[in-house]
Amino acid sequence: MNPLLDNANSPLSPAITNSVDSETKKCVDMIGLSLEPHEMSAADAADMERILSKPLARTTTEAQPLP
Amino acid sequence: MFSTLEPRPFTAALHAAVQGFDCGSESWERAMALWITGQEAIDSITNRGTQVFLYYDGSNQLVGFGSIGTTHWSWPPPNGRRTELAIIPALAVQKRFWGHPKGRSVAPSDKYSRQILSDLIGRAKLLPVTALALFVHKDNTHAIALYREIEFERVGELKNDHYKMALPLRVDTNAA
Repeated sequence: MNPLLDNANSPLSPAITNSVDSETKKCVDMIGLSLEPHEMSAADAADMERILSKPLARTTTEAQPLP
Repeated sequence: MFSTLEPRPFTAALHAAVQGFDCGSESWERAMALWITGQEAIDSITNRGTQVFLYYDGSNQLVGFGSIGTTHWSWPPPNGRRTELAIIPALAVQKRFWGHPKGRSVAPSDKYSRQILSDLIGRAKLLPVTALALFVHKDNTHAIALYREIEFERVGELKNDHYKMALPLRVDTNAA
């Protein structure tokens, strides 16, 4: 049985949080951080300019939401 | 014969359906399972407008989940122009469906992981953004290979053990 089932309407319970190793916790945190506004470094900016100047990939032009 | 996955919007009402979600035992895999089975996914939907989808096969089996949101990246530093981007905060396929559908006749684009990604890219294209981004753990080599196959590219350097990757969605007429 998944212990989270008993606490479905609450954030991760302290018991669960305590059982999560620091690497996993860091990865959970990164999911949330990925949605935060981000000021890019000069290296990031150079890469973004390069990426955005490229022609679109075929997989991109063909991608459609599943019905 | 392969299944075309069916996306269903994830809501709190479907919380029980994701309990026991197993996408592996590595730290980044456990994080994905915790995100969807705990409160984080629901909070992200409620507080940030993230769209989260569960993907089911033709036998009504939960294959995986995907999510898409928006954020702002600013460049060039300092105080550069704010650019709205689509972002995939979390995405996972249950371990028992890794590499599925199997078979020589199955095209790479029909693999479940590719179907989910293609769906998310298609949804991102509906947003007023020029690129789609994601963060991936440096040791998640299978995911990195998949993203590269779709032509995501690395952005900048490793940070917190994660790479940023981005995929252009349309020509950015405002690019410098």
